[in-house]
Amino acid sequence: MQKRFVKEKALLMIFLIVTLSFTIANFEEVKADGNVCCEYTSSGDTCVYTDEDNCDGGNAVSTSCEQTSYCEVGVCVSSEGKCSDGVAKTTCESLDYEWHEGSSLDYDVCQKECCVIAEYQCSYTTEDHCGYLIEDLEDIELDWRDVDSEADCSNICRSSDKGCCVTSDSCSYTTYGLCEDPDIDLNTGTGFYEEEYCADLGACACVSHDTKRCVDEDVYWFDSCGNQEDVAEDCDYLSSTWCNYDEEEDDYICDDINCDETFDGVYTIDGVETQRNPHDERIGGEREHGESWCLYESPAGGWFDRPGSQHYRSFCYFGEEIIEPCVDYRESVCIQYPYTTTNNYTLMNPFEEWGLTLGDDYSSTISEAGSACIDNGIYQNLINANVTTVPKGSSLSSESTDEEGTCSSGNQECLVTFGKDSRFGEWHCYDNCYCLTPEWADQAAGFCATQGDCGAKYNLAEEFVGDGFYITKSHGYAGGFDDDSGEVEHNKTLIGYDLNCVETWSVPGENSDPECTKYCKDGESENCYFIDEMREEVQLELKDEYGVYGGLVGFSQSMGEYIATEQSPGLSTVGAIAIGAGAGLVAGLAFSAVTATVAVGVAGAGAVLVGTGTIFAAGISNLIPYVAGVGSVLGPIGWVVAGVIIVIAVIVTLIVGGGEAIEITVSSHCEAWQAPSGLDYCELCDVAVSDGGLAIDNSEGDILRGWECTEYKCNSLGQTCEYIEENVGTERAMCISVATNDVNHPVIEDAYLLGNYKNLDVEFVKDDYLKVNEKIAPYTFFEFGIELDEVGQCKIEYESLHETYEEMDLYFPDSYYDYVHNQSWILTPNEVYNFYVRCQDHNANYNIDAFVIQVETTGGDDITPPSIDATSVNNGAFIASGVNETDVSLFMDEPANCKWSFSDADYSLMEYYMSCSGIPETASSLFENECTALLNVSYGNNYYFFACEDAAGNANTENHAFTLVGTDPLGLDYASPNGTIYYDYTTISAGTSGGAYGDGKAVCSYDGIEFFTTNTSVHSQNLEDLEAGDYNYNIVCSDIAGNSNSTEISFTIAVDSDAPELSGLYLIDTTLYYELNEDATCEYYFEEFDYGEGTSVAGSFTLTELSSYYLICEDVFGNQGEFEIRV
Amino acid sequence: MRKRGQLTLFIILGIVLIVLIALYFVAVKTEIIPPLLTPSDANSEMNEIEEHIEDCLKAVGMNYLYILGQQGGYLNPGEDTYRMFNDSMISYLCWNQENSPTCTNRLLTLNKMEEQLEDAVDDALQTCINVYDYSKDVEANDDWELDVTINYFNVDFDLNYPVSVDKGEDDSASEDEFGYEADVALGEIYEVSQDIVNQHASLGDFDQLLYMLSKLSRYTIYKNRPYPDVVYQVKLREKAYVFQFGIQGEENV
Repeated sequence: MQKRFVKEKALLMIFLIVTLSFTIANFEEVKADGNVCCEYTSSGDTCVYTDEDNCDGGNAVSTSCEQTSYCEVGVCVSSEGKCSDGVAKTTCESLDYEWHEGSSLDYDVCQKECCVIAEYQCSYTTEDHCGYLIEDLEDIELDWRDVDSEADCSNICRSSDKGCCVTSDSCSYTTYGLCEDPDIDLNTGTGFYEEEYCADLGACACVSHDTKRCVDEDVYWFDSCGNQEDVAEDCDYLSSTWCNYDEEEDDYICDDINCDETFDGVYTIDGVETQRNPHDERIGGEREHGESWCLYESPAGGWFDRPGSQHYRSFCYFGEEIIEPCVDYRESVCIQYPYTTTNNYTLMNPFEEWGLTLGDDYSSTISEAGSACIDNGIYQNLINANVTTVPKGSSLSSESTDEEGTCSSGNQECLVTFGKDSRFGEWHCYDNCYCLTPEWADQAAGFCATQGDCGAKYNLAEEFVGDGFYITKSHGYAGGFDDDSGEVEHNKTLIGYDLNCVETWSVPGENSDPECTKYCKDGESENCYFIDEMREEVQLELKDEYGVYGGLVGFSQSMGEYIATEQSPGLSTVGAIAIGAGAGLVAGLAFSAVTATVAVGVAGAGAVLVGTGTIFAAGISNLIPYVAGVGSVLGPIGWVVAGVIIVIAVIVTLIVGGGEAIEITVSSHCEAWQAPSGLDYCELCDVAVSDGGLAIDNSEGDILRGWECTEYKCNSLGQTCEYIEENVGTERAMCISVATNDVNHPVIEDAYLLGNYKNLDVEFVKDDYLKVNEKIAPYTFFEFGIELDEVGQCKIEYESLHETYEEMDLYFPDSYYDYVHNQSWILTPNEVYNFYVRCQDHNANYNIDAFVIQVETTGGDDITPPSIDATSVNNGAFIASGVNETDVSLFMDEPANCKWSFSDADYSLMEYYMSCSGIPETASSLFENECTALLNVSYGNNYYFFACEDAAGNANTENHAFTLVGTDPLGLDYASPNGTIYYDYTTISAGTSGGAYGDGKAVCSYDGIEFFTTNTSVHSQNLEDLEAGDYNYNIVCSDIAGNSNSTEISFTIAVDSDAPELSGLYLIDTTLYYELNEDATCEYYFEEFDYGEGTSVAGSFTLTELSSYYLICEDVFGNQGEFEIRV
Repeated sequence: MRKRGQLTLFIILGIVLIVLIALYFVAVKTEIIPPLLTPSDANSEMNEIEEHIEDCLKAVGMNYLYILGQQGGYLNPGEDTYRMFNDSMISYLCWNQENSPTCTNRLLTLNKMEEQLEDAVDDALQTCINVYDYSKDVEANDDWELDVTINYFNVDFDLNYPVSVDKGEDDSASEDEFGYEADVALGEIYEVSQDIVNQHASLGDFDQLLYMLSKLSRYTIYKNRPYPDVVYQVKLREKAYVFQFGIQGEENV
């Protein structure tokens, strides 16, 4: 019995295991950062990937939103008929819009054509949106025309005829569609005069050609009535001219909108000028409006890109050069076209790429010289248009390591074979000897550099760091044997060595030939690794080789040639591509192929070479039996001869044999490039190129829009550079040095006055003091600023000074790390102030001797009374019933004392003093001019008068009138329902009276939810589809004054589950009357039927000659009672 | 002798005149008698009130319009919905899609912006509008209604606020509707922002230069790339108002 279905169960288990395995394997990646995809968030958003605590209802799944069903992405069609792509389902549906899978291209309703409204407005939009636009316009019919482009659509309206619209009191030059009454009235002269200027119509009395103005791109004449006339000067957008006001000529002219001067690409680091943009001979020159080109800040392409570098697309737009950065970390690269006339590489027409249509004229202008940032697909394995020779960047933070093995994939190994062909022979390198040469090491370093920010490289500040690349060997010496003296003879293995210098040395021994140690590190001749100095030497040679500028430019050229001559299936790897690129260090990539060959060679050719002596010896050994055989045939003489031959053979074997070989593995090690650790150049990140930095500017120090110092660039400039994220997008410094050996405090290079006192005479001593030589008025804003030599944070004190920066309490208002800090104080009369300033840098260095700002105030000759700017409670505000007093604060424009009164009395006669922050007895940087009073409030209007007096004794002569309104309590007259309800729906109602307005106007809620109908005196909320059970609600109402009232309601929903029953049945003549025990609707028929198919009846029906009738009655809950009535 | 008597008479008359004038000012000051010249009538006070309310609408409305533009259409961006840039909370209008160049359109709507503006401006008006400062005879229903409409070329702030000044004796004035039209083409700039977002959502990038040229240089669009996001700043070329928003990106390093 127990063994029943064992086989079936086993099969089921196998099936489950297999299918579940696949199910588990197919699960999407589950995020581990604690975030979920919230369908709704507490901030009112939808489909946000955020912390689960931010979710507010709906679904919340621990995965990215686009992987959920509720936030799946599709096209959303709004109620106005507009289509938006890439919208999450819930986002779309929460707005009651229609959501569909796919994109707008898949739906006819999303196709755009030209919506023409009354021949004067044209909109390139969908048909439904066109209908929406004319929805409220009378007598306008849908005019949706097929066009090829948005420009064609605009042209429809541009070409619509204009003329003068004459009305009874004015003339205006407009379109027919905009003329209110276009029909010409011959009696009055009103109407629309097509293609006529108003100045040409006598009825308008306007003087022609009165002034000039701009209309779009052109200069137009205007008549003395302000109506547009004919073109005064035809500017040409395609020729880069546009209407503009010329101050010199005091008139409107066609102005040139080209860029006269652009960034010249020259960087000056430490006084050394380098042209980093030689790829384009027009760099720095004039550019046309709309022209774009690439800018690079280091060699670009050919694996030359330096750590921290970024590609930029620059363009000229209305006389301004604007930067568009490509994605940082060189995730996208800038390419410029056309490259050469023979270049076969073509960039996809950007107009087509973006689905834009500009018209032939414009696109031809743009395509003459353009550029684009495109995705850097270097790590894609397929040869396609996106493959570049630009290595992607990597995080250069101090904690960064090569965990993903990006750099280590650039490691190489080479088996070098040393051997000697006899016991007494010399050791020689036989195989892969190239791996001992500087050229090989150089190529290995180059291959390492192709992996990203790896190996030995220069940074943007021309600082070389070679720690990321080095070479090791498995053996220091190749073999050896004892000579008579007992010393062991070796062949010393040198790497990065001139093969011509290879000699055999005794151990220990010194190389006497200085030429042979030139590539060794000092003191490391015993382990002569290939060294970074060598690499730097090569780098220095190559530093100015800007190779394949433009990434794809060079690549496409060289690839094109390569593919033409060498195309083979084996090119489908990046390594093979690099062979094709073949520029300078890139050739190092070829090493991967070379290595493979070498490996095979070692096994083959090496075995042959090493075996020379052995084979020879083996041959002699094999010869002995034959010689012996021959000797035995020839007799005794033969034996002697044979013996001699054998002895000779043995001697020869001993001399010539004993050949030996050894394999030495030479390994190149590729590690992550590290920023320089000594000197750093962090500040270059924020300094304009024209000032010796890296920030691209207009040669006058104005950094171009779009350029930004990035974290990547900052980190590349030094180990001690720190990126200040909070300053991103601002003009404040973003990259600062936090060098641990920095012991210098920020120096206050400058200090100055601002605002009203900026022209006062001052005395300034750098990092010491700023003395104001003139007195300033009290109770005015004394503003000043300081400028540091490095980014710092500053604090200020006066009167006394704490010993340390930490003990000081008051920051400058801008607590940012910045060079410049400003401050504002209100000072009291007849005082001498000494402000003490300390500033601290990121290394917590601060000036122990505080910088002093000294200023003196006058006695003051203020004659202006204070002004009350605002009150904390609205004038005329309602006060809740039962509240007898309330606090009211006044805010004045200067320090003052205030009083109040119930009557409009003079300040001196006012009875009540207010509690004021008053006249500051000391200086204050955070002073708020505020006075507070506790005002008595009674029912009805309460009138108060305020007045203030400043420190100079100026009091208000006109009082500030103020009213508060005491209110009735809010009555809650009724709330329902209560008791038992026999339906699944009801309406909660409440009625209020009295309150702030006296009419019961209030806002009511039930259990915290606002009624649907409220903010009046009658409040209601419908409830539907209620389950059977008891319901209790807390009804709370409150009005604008804060009056509140509440009550509770309780009711029971008793949902009926019993069918209606007949409670009475009687016959009068031929009419049958029935009665039920509850309300129900009934149908009858002459045979059995389903409810809905019978004849409706209401309490009675007429009998025929039949003897049986069927009656079905249904109550509001759907309970049906069926009855057969026999007569 | 007659001349001396005449002189004395003039002196007495002068003193009496001075005393009468002084008494008049004291009486007016202490409100014993009304001033001979009424300084203002109901209409002029109503005009001042209208000017005051429209000043408030302008100050408060422009303030929130500016913030709305700085923060990408959201006055109070929620957590994880924005990034800091240029000291502003820049809202993302397109969410990153993992391992994909395209993004998910957040679908900011004009209605959403109008609702936010209405709530914020309404609250701020409570501390700005104070009609009682402009007349002792004013009556106002402080339960006003504010309606904000973002049009293509401007933004309308319409305040329904019944205010009346009644000085009696047929001297009264009243006004129910106050308004301010902000010269900010938010509707138009919104359309540009949606073009940009749609391009990112469907293609994964947006070419600002080609777009600006295709629109005949009506707009200026700046593109910043605070890694890994993109921040756009959109403005009408000849206007100062800027609308800036973010496209969320994905970190790959």
